[in-house]
Amino acid sequence: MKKGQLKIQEMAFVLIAIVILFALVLLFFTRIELFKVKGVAEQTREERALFMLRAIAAMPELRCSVSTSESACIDLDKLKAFEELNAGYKPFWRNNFIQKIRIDEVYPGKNEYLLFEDKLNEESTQGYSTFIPLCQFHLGRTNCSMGRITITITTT
Amino acid sequence: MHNKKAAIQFAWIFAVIIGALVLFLAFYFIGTNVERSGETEQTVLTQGFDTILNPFSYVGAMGAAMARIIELPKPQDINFTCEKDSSFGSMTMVLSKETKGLPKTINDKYIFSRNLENTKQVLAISMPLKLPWRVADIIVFVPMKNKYCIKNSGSDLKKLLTDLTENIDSGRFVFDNCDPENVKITLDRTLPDELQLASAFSDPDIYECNVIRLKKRLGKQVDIYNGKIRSLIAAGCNMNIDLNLLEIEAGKANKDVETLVNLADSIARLNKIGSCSLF
Repeated sequence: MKKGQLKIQEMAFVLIAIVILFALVLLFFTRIELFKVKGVAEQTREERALFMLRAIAAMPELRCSVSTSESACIDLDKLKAFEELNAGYKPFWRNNFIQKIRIDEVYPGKNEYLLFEDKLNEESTQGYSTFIPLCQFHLGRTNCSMGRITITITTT
Repeated sequence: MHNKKAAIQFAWIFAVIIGALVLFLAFYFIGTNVERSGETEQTVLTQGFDTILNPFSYVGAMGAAMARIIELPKPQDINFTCEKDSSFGSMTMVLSKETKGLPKTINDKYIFSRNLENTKQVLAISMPLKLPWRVADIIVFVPMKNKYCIKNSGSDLKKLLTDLTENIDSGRFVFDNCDPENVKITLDRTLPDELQLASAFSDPDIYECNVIRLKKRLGKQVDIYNGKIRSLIAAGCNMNIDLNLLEIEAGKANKDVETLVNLADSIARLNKIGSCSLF
């Protein structure tokens, strides 16, 4: 009887050990899958930020257009008007990782135009930027300066 | 002896019960994981599809229309919903087959399409919509299961569709000598060319919602252009363009664009003859 009881206990411990082993394997597998998904999310954010650099430069609200023809620059008059209205465009850009969109006039002037800001996690951020001319078209004259679009995103 | 036999029997019963429990738990977790990974795969696919559409939303800046065939890794059901009540409105897109992915909210694109079933390939056409300046680039999805007999088409739109599809999908649009098997499309010539195509290939609710979204965006752009008018006047330009009527018309939450188009045409004429170009 005692031997039988010992055998039952032995079997119980073995089975419990197997269950714990399976649980550890499952945990390990879940961590790997989570790591893969985070990697995809990070890549998607980066692609999105790079796309937005091009999209902002091409926005009808900002892009230069003279005599109905568009050119690869940002209209400074529209940019100034846009900055005054930027609160109205927050829903357009609000998502869960874009923190700031800014256009700086870097040469010859030094002005900053804030298009969007959403204070999220300020500790882990990454910025992406591109240069683009900022131009004004007044009375047949074109005046341009060098500008830079910067997008700041939060990273995981 | 009897006790030994009973103990052995109990041990076997105990082992079978625990073994069954372990197997049940293992199959349960595997099943849950397979379902979750299917949902993850569909969600990643939806995100990827949105990423592929990104260039379509700014191609108009180069002044051009664009057409591309988008191919998915495997046939999918693509469903769209549209919301028009928020300040810019938004669309939601979800891809599904055996499992459904998480819906993707799209704020910056205007996709005119019907819900697509079991679709592996779709012809995407992007065109800038001008009222009178470029408001946004609209994207029209044309299912590739059929050829389309286009009736009542203007010469500009006919040339545009022919040129766009010449090298990638020649023969998709037929204008003369249609086959009886072709799907017949009659265009509404009271609309601008871009919206004629959008209306023909879009679900009516999606069409109306996106037109209202475009009008809302036009309304915001009027504010920006009013700011530019003030800057141009300050710089010495003689500006005779009044955008108030355009703003009022853009604020109407319906799919009618006839008045808007007429206003846009008159503003475009004034822009051409002005001393300083507004757009």
